[in-house]
Amino acid sequence: MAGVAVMLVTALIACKQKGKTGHRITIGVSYQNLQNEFIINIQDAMRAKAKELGVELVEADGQGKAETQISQTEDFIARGVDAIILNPYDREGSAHAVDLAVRSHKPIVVVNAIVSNLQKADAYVGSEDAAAGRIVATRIMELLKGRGAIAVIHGPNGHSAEVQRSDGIRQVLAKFPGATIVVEQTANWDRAQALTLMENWLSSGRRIDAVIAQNDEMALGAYKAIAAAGRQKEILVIGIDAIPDALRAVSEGKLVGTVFQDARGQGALAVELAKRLAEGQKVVHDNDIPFELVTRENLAKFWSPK
Amino acid sequence: MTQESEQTKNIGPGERVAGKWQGVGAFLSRYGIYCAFCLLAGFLSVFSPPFLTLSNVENILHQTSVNGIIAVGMTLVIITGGIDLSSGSVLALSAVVATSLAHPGAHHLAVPVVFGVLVGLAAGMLNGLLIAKRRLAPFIVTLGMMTAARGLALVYTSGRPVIDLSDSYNQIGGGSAGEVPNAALVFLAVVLVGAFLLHYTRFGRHVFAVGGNELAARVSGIDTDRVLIGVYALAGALAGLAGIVLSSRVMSGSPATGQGYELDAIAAVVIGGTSLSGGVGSIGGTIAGVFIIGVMNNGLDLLNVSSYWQQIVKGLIIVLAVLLDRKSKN
Repeated sequence: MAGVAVMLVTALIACKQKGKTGHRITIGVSYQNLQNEFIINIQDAMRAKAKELGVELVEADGQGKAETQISQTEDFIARGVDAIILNPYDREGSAHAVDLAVRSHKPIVVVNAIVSNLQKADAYVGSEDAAAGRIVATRIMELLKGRGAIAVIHGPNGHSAEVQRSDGIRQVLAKFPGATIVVEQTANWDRAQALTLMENWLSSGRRIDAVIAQNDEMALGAYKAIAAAGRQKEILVIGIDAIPDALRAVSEGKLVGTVFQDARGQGALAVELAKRLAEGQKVVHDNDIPFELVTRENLAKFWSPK
Repeated sequence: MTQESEQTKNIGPGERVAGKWQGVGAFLSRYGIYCAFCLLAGFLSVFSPPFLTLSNVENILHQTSVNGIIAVGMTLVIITGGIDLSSGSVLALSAVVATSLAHPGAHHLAVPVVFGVLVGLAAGMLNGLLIAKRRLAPFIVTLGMMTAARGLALVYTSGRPVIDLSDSYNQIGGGSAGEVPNAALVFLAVVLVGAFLLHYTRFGRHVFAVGGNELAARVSGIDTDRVLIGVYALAGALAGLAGIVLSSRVMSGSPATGQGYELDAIAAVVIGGTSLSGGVGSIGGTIAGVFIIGVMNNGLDLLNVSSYWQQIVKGLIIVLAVLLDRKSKN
């Protein structure tokens, strides 16, 4: 009995303390997959912004599974966060998280990748992945003068970025009758898988003039295979993400380009918007942060040799 | 000679036919896996001419080495009636540790190699100790190691891949001695050592004994704890070596790499005729299994078959192999 009384008193005092210092905004964040270097960049940016604005982040790693992100969202709602930031893995599968947030009247910001019910969310911060696809395909078409045999290496099937980047690539290539996609397959964002895939494509004797890889890791893997076969002068390789390894490869002329996605901008703005929504303010729904093509010409803006 | 003709005279026609088929059955159960491999290779050569080129063969050697190295260790583990689910994660952990020591001009090449293998060895020894001394199920122990080692790799690198590696490190998994890939040479060395260990030493006989009947083995004086710790430690060390070969080939030590590699190794071992219940198996069979999977993946890529169908085919081959294995035992 005495113990219970002590606990109650402590709880009352604690509540009073909270009231005195004011309520600190808590934001629940579900990342698509923290084993991805790019997503870690977003995480760093979010943490920095959260510190700057004095909000608390409750972070969870979706580990590349939509259903995990759904349960994480349910947990956030149950523990009463003030707002939710969703970095969806799967365009269709992770969409339910938005429905859950809307149903529980919790503001939700979608960052970096889209979901099928994006309009229901309170805000979206990201770079349109279809634009990234268009940028790399355009660059290749420029270099190949509009004709050639193209190989495309995809991300995991159904992944939000994969679907959109594929769309973007197709949109541009459709405008050039002299260019055809001769072979395409997924390498699941993985460097080793892309290396193996490219090796086997080279063995098949097919003519390939350029490889469009939907992310840098796969582009670097494909380049390794091409260089090992001594055909780096014949085949152009391009990727997306502008990770440090890829930027160095661009400086060395190995990749003909990559696409910079502003992780820091996306992460920071997402936290800002979530905070404003938690405070009851209205925000702009669509916040597009444009992709930028990185080539040897403008490389200095993004990277300097160590 | 006379005895034989007397026998054939005394048995009925049905039994004679069974005798002839028994011969074929015995041949298939011993060499069936190699026949299957030849059939597969033949089929691919016909339908995809580039299959038989030297450069493609080199590719196959490159692509099967990593799985092959892991599979040798896995063979011994499975023969003892156990299993090792941690290979892929231990591979990643070793890869990130090794590559973090392989920056240009940092250390002598032996340093990343030794440390990478040691990390694998340590993980494997921990597995073995828990399984032997604490009598915990191999499935559970190695499952725990699979998750923990992955987490450790992520912590060690803060989730980012280790890049900027020396050219000499690249040579380990990516270079060639003439036409033969170095990775294949490492694979060959592992196979020779593994086969010698398993089939020509007392330790190897003990491995089979423990798999056949652990209690009987212990009662007959074999130090079963030492055998178990030994096979898991070896499996861990080989996963570490595989991690070095892989990371040196792709020039990046990624904490996310190697996912599912233990399943590929188990598939190779099972296709090769080693029974999951323990007591029987061979390195030769495992190698056939490794190449069947590798050749199939390579061939289907050449034929531009989607990776999803490739997975379906791989699954079918595994089930087929186990079915044939079960039939031949009966």
